[in-house]
Amino acid sequence: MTEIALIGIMILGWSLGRNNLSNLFGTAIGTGMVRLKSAAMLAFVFIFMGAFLSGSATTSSVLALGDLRTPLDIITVMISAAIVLELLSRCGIPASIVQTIMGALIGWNFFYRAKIDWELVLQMIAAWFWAPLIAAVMAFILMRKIRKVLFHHPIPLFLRDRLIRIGLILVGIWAAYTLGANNTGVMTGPFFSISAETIFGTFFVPVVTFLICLAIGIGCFWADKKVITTVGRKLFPLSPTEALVVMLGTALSMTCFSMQFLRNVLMDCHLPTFPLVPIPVSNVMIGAICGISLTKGGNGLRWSVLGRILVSWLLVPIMAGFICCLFLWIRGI
Amino acid sequence: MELFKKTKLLETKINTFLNNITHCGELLTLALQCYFKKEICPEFMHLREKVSGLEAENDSLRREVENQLYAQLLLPDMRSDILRLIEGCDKIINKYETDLILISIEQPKIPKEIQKALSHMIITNVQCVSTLMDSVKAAMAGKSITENIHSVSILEHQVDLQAMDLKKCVFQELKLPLARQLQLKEFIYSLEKISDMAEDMADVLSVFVVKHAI
Repeated sequence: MTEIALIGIMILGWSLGRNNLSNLFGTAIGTGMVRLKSAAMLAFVFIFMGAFLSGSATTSSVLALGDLRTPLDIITVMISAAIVLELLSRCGIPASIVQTIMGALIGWNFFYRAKIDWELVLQMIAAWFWAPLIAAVMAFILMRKIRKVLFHHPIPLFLRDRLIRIGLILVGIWAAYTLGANNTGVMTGPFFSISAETIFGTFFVPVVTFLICLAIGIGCFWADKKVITTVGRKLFPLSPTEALVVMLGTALSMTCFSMQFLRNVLMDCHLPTFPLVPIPVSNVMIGAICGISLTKGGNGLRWSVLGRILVSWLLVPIMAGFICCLFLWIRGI
Repeated sequence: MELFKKTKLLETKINTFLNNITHCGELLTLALQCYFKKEICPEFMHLREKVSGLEAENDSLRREVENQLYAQLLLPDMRSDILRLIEGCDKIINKYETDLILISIEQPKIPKEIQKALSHMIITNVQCVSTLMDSVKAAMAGKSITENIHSVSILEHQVDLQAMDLKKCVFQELKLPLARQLQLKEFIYSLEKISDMAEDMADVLSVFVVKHAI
């Protein structure tokens, strides 16, 4: 059973890698500035680092959402989330594991009539709203500033190309690190809910984290080009500079909701803090793209594509929850 | 730093390519002035050879730039537009060479009455192309090109007027056989085309700058 649970979580990791490479490097790959293989390799390494060095910050939020009892529960939740994620990848829609897992966990709670921490759920949903908004504002301000600076201090095209490329790689690395820090906690969370000693024997959480990261990394090499095209070109035709700003806005916003260190600093300064909850990277990135489009008065933004993405975000948790309930019901039979 | 070296090398190649076109314009002016004085002479042939040499050098530079742009994945969003610009500029240097070859083959007799006006037209033409080359360099440096593009338009218009005056002179004032009149008309038309090509490229460049504005 333990092995099956691990296989389940690895399938989910693979799906996450497939869909989320577009959230990290999608704009860079879509604009042709970074090769898919290079992006996958970088994502692989830095998701690993993020997961191991700061991956536990968001785990407690997931733990509070559902008290999974057996490895079979973990498999059910993970497989439900993976199915929804894979479905969205095939439709070319950027999605996030956070929404799918949360949906599946709430589905699990519903099925077993367990108590749901609605306060936490609302806090998470509020963060899902704030994070894209912060990314949009950051992208908007950054883009306007960059335009102003480049207008007064022109940079030769080739030098600009090189600088943007380096910037895209560095920010992509940063985003991969924050994804590892923010999102792997969501996947390892359910494992913490059961005693590692009793259920997994010799399997320890670092081993589980390692396997998840490995699956994410492999998934990155299988990245769905449809999702990358949606992010890089379909939603809004981004220039390489804009792609860089989108990635920067995304990484900045993600950092706010992932770093314990930042939270401590804000608390020390008696400033309002950001909740350390898992954030869907895709939402944040779409927010940043909308921020860029607003610098051009919203021109060029494909509202139909945006509408499709927004509807999918609403449906994702519901679908995951429904599929999870369905699996649990089948298991009961 | 190796990364920046490659970029610098490519930039240097494009600048050499553009400088060659400007230099070819100067050589064309010299060659035609020489032709007006001495018709086909060793000096003219030497200048023609020099233009052909620069044209060949530019062909290989163009190919190198094309290869490098694609091999190093440089400027992915604008490389097709840059190549279009470079190919357009290459057509201008080809035209310089073709015109000189045409003269050396046809050896048209240029009447003294129009030599000065023709000289002026050639100088304006070359100035028009040189301004275009400066605009391309400015665009590559990320600088504003509005004034340069405006200058190209003005110079092209001047060339049109000069060419019209020349054609009028050939057909209405000079008493020449129809065959010579037609040959001169073709010769003037061929030179006039250079500034038209420059103006077309200036339009392409304007679109390029608007399209790739940050």
